[in-house]
Amino acid sequence: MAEYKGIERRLVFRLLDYWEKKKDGRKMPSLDDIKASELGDDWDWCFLILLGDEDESATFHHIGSLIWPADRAPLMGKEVSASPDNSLVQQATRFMPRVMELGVPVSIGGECEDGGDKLLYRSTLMPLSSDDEFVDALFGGANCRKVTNK
Amino acid sequence: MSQAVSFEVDTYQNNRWVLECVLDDKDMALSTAKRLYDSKRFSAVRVVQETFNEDSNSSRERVIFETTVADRDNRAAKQQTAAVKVDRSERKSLKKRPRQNTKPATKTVKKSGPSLWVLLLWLVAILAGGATLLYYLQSL
Repeated sequence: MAEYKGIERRLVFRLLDYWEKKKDGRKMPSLDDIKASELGDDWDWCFLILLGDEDESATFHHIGSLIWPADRAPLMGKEVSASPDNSLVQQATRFMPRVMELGVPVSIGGECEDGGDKLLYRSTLMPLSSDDEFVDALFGGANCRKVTNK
Repeated sequence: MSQAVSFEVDTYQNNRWVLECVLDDKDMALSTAKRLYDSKRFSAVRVVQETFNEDSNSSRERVIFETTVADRDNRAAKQQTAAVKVDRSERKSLKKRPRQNTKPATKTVKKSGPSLWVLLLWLVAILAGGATLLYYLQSL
């Protein structure tokens, strides 16, 4: 995993602001509204999930290299439920049902273990819709820092 | 007893509260509410703390932060007051001038002073005259 300098609440705020800006009068933005070029370095902390139709499994459409390092088995196109237990990406996606239920962004923080490191993380998940009615994708982000024992 | 606490950020739109986002961190929820409020798109925002008791499967809600358009106006007014402070001191000096105008009025009352002296002189003169008259009558 990358060397984390600090848990950035600001990342969550930036992503929430971005999502809010992209709403543009709608209930939520669409997947097409989320652009890597506009997110700069934050893109590497972000992920996109395609929910598919009813009864279909959610799959990763994008996963940033700082959340899921490139030297690991790729998760792109894989089911979200396949993400390893207690990993950062698993923690950052575990409240998907809550987002689906509420239809609004949800932000959760906590501790997890990833790559042998104990991490303190903060994550957010935001709904996306192409027709402003049905949620068809999720936009998320998470960052973390190593927990150091003094 | 296990409890899960979350914080809901609501905005007031079209005469009703609308849920904007849910966070598990109180400070972040408050910051989010303030940011939404400062965007001036909503007449009010609030943060509701929801405590979910897993044992009893019940939740308790409590508003921990709420602001309205009146608060914003008050804040704006406060800022203006701070800016106007300098002007206010100038106004004070301006206000002093009408008070100076009232002093001459009191002076006009004091102008009756000399007439009092005249009255006293008259009184002295009358008394002296009376005394002279009494002395003259006694000498007869």
